[in-house]
Amino acid sequence: MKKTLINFIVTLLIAIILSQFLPWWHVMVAGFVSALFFSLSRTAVFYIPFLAIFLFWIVYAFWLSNANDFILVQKIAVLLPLGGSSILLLLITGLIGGLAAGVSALLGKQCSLLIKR
Amino acid sequence: MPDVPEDDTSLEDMSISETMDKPNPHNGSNNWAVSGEKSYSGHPILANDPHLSLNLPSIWFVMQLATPEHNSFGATLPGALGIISGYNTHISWGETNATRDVLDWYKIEFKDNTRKKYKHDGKWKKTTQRIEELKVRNGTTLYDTIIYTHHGPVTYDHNFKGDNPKAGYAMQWVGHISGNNQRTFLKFNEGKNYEDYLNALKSYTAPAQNFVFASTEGDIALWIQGLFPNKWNGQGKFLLDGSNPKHDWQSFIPQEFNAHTKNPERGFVSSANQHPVDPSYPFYVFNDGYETYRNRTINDFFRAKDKFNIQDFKDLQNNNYNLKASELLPHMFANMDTSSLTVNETKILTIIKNWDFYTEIDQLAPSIWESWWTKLFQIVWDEFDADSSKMDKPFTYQTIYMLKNHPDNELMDIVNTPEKETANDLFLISFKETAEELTEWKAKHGDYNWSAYKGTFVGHLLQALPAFSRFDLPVGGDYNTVNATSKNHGPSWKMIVEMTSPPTGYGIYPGGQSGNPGSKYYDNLIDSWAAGDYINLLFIQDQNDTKGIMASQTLTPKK
Repeated sequence: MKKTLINFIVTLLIAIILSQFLPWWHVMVAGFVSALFFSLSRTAVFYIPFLAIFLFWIVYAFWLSNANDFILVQKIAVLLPLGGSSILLLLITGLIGGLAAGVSALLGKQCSLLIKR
Repeated sequence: MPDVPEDDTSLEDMSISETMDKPNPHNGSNNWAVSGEKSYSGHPILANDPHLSLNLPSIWFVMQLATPEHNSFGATLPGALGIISGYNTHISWGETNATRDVLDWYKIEFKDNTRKKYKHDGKWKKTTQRIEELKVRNGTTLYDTIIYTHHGPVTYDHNFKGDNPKAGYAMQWVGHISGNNQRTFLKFNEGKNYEDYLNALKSYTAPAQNFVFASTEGDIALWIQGLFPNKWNGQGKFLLDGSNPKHDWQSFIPQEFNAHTKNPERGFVSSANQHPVDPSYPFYVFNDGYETYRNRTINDFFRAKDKFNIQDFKDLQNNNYNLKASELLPHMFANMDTSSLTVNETKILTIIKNWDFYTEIDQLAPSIWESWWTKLFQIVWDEFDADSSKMDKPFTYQTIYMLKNHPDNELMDIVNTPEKETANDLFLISFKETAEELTEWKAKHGDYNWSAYKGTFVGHLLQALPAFSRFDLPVGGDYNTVNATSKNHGPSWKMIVEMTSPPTGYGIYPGGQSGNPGSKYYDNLIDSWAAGDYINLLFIQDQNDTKGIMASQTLTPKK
């Protein structure tokens, strides 16, 4: 349980810090690095970083959208097209970020196993 | 006016398959001003509304420019210096297009395929070449050699829409002559009276504009300003002979002889892209298309009574009276044989027969008229579509004149039918087509009231991206009413200024001050614009005055 929490927090922290310098793939670096040093087992390898970034991107997107009274998010939800549902757009945003982080965490886990051998 | 030369040469021939695109024919504008005597308050009142494509982000940006010496307010365009349509503490100004033919085509004959020499005045003269470098993103740079004659660049040739390597059409255009159009606007911004306005106008060359003017001193004026070649009667109406020196532009009309009026007795000035002068003007004036309806509605409006107030001005800018329809429909009703109409068709005819010619959003008749007129125009000039060479169709005004006065003219016949049609037959044929179209439309979309049928939209520059555009706006009028709002074209800035001290302004435009689709100021003025409302413009007099200020930003230059 403790390891899970550490991985979650580390993924989140790295992602938040790197988001200041790197484009969207900072979440992949975060997932990879945390898996490398705070290795989890079984499905947790994927879903803990997934959850961390899923939440991070939703909160971050919500915060950015709030700055313009959710005008832009509603318009993008029309363009995509999601029928103008900004909630759906935020969820998809989280999903994409989470998937990217989870997949790179799987890679990080494999690498950590290689190193241990 | 120079003498008309006789035709004496024949040149190497070239035929072109199509012509270049021209600007949107609906680009136009209104402006007018009333004198103090005709104003409710004794102060002149001026108005301007330029008609352009309805786009987002907005074409216009409204701003106030203040220095310790000057203070001006109004609409401007990105890239322009100063206010383009607006006012300062002393004067106000606005523009409409002074449509005039200042672009002529010259037939060029080259000596050989190298195109180094062309014929002029019985000699072979040298062309000049200019290589244009067109950089292509992720591709190889394209080099295009442009051949210049003294007339201008050879535009149509065997590389572009033409077929003969030894011939071409050169474009002579006032827009290619250098001038200083920006100075005019800078001087308007700091102008104080009529003299300053007059002085500011002088450097303006193209595209020619009708510059309306009003001052707190009580003057109103209108100058048609541009650089105009002094042509012989008919010069440039058709292709000119590039080898004949008599076909060259001989001189320009001296600026002081440009048509103008200052404080006319009738108490108002106005322009709406109409024919600018009467036959007493001693120079040749021509254009391939003048506005023939808005201008008359405006002038009739100001002749109708003695005093005008701000509400009258707002009403006129939002006026949807369809003069065009009012000049043809009664004739059609009187001359169309209605005996073969079905019940449904008779119902539609009754609706349009009861129309008061106001093109309002909740009416069905404007949609019937629009459909009917479009179909009628199409079959009147079907001869032009049948002909293989590229020809422009006659104008609306002349078409209606023909329909009313020459109903049996052979052009009224539809070429691909064995019968010989007259104008009155065309009324019936096009009406039946209209009834069919509208009945189908109704089955598909519901009631064809004008708002729904027209479907006015303000489109984002990127192919009207749905989320960044505004659709189905409830706004009346069409391209021939004073409120010239068609499907995607219309008053892009509406301004009214009363010349109090300081002036009192009202304005609106279909957009907002921000170009960011994520800002609420991206399109926040559109609904008011569609409703015909105005914003009281805040012309700040003291820079320490913070009333009505929402945010401020200080830009400090780097030392």
